[in-house]
Amino acid sequence: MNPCYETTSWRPGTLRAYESVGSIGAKYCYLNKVKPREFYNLILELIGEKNRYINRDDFTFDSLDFDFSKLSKLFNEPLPIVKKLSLKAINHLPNLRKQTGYSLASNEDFAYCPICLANGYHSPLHQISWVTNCFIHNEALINVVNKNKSIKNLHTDIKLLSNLYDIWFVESEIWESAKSYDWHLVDNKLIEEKAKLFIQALINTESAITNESTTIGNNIESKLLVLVENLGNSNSVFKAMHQNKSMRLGEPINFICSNMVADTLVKMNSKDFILFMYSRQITCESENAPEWKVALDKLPSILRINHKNCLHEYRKTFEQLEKTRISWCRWNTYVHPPYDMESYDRVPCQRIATLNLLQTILNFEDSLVHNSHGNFYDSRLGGMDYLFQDIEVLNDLITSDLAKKWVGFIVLGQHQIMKKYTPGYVFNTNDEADSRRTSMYVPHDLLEEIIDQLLLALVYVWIWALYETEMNRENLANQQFKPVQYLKLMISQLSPSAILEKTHNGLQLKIGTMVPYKTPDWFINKDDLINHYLNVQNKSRELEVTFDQVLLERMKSANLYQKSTNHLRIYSR
Amino acid sequence: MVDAQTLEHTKLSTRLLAGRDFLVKTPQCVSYLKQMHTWLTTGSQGALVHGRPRLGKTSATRWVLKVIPNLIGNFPVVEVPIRDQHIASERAFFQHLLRCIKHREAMKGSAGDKRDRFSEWLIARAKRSPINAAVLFFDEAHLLQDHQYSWLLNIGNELDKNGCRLFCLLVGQPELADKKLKLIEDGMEQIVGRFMVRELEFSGISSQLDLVATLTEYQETIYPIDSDTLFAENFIPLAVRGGFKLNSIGPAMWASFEKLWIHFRIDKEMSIPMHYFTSALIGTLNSLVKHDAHSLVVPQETITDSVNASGYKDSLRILLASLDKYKRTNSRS
Ligand SMILES: [Zn+2]
Repeated sequence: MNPCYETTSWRPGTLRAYESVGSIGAKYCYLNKVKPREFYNLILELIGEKNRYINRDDFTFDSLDFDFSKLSKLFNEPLPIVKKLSLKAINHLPNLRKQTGYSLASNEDFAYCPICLANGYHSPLHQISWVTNCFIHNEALINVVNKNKSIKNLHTDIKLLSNLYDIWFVESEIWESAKSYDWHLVDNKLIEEKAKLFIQALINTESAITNESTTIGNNIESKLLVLVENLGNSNSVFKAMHQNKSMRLGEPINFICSNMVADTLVKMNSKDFILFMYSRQITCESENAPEWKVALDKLPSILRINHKNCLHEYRKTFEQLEKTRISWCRWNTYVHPPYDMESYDRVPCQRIATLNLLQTILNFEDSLVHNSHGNFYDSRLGGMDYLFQDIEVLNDLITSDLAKKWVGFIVLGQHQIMKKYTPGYVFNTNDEADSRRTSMYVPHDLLEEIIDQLLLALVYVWIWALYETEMNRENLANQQFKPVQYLKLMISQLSPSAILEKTHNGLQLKIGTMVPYKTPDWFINKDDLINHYLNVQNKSRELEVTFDQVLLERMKSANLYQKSTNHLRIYSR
Repeated sequence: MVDAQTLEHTKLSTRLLAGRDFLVKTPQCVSYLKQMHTWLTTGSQGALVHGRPRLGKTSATRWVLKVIPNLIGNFPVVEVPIRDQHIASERAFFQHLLRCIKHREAMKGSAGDKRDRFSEWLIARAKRSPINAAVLFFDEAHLLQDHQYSWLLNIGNELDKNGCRLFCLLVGQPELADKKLKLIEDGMEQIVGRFMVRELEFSGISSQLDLVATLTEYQETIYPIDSDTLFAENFIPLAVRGGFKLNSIGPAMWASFEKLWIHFRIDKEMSIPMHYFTSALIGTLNSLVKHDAHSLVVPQETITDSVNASGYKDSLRILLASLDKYKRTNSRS
């Protein structure tokens, strides 16, 4: 007869495993015709007065005291499914955390799978910051900035309640059956089956990690993937959840060394290796250069092939225009140059912008010397100050002759290959290359070999990221992406990871990379080349005309129309 | 000072009389069950069950609703007591219904919110039942007002729209039958058509056969539940173990009730409301406690005393008065 414990207007049988608290909350508010506050109160009751969590960024259902059986009774849902709201099993994996920086922490965004959303489902497995695809549908997740305020005493994932409520029950028709009594939902068996694969991959990997190895890289998801792959725990779902799914584990490279040396090297962490990659890159000489250095040094000339004329044309018209612009600016108001190498739209040939991007990559010295924040290469250290003194095994490395002190001059601006094409630079004569005396540690012997292998993987990532950026130039403009932002994104997405592990007679290095070790096809075939030059000339004229028109407008408004005519190119033409 | 055993008997007696602790299948219950089975499986949306007070309507209804899922599968049932409730407004009415189902959010929001919250609760459960229906059991339903019926009509429509059915079981005193006529007179056939087409008049035990059958049910009942003690063993363990059968006192008990009925010269078929029957039975058992023995003989006197003390006499006096009044009103008009 009448229930003997509290009930709610939940629809029994509609709860799904690993459903997010926001998803459940939105449905609760709709079904019970109550405000979110009532659901918050319910959750506060269920998480217990002590409000105990291991981490501040845990999901709501990971509360240590969460009363699942009460929720099960209240919703009339089977306890086994209710218990699968928690991600406790993979929440705190200390070995993975140490090796990769692993955590389930979500970003502040609202991340969702459009297919799931159309079937009334959202999961914390969509919110994990390093997960890019839906674990059920393999669909790319969509990220939306979430501006909702935090709720006192509750964890941030509950903020998604109002987003989901609005999407499902207020405005749109995203989930068609939302307002009917027959909800069309994602099949629970499918959810459990897919989630299990993801969770198993992580748990198995966690238990297989030993301290006989170290993981190198600056991208959590890529490091995770390489670890899971290396320990043989990968599966279709786990791969699909990362954007780096095309990662290949290269052939292992073996190094023979003493057990002591091997021990010292596997004690190094990711940041230690990255620091040595910097110092190696800065101090590497061109004679007897390693493979990565050769590839990098050759790049500017490879990029110029087929485009010598473009550069010539650009420089010629550009210098001419700069004269006019600078003399105008000197006496009148400032006028922006029509050219901008930071935008594919505002250079006559795309390669000019690409060369400029390459220069951005090569100008890494400043970032290391000043170690300033916000600089391009800080991203490689996760934006933190990390110095050689911070390397725990530095002394052991020096004793074993794996690292040496280096004192010398670093030339700044050495790689500024596009400097002479920069507006404002032409007539600036007192800009000399600067050099700075610096001391640092450089890798030596076995460590140098390892570092060279890592740099090789990295250099090819840079090259392919540049290529991807140039190839995508038209989309970038549509999406309001600056080329340099896109390049950074590509580099971080393609970022390689490596595992260095002990073997019976030394060490083995396995590099997981998403790009091939070869130069992409940058070249233009002969027929297209003629068209290309024509386009470049047209674009060049177009930019000139734009500039002339701007200048004309300025003159009219400054009433200088007559006075300045003889100064101006526009009338001499 | 009362000894522990007496205390135990008193507790058991009051529970039985309140109809709370366990439900016994009387012959009337069995025919009620058959009716209910028909109503629920033939698409009816409501029924009237009426009868004089103390007949055991509430207990019988509870028993029927408890047993019937074994026959037709589970369905949601809400028992809604109407007596002494302040439910004049729609908001209060639905809040009362929400409280009957121990709804967590019973107090929140407007009348509309509460109505939707309640129908959502019913629909979610009705849809999962094999008969696609929900039953609302209104006890003392003769106290329901016209507008409350129309709110129920709305809920019924809401369930209809979603492919399920609301069944309102209206259980109350004989005025309920009059209410039906009045609703037709007042042009509210819709309510009658929906909830009151089916009707069952509830009477008490009306033959010696019924009375013996009811006693046999008590005789077979195990109490407390999950023990291996027969109900009567709680009072007269030695006698029961010696082979005493509770239904053996049936003819004597019937004779005592019949004697009272004849005494009042009531011009109707005799009926004993369950309440007085139970009361007489408990009275008898309590008196037998101190005589408990392996071979127990129950004196007729003990039974007659218990029947006389059951309150049946007073109820007949009231019945007689109301019948007279009814006759007078009818003859006047
Ligand atoms: Zn999905």
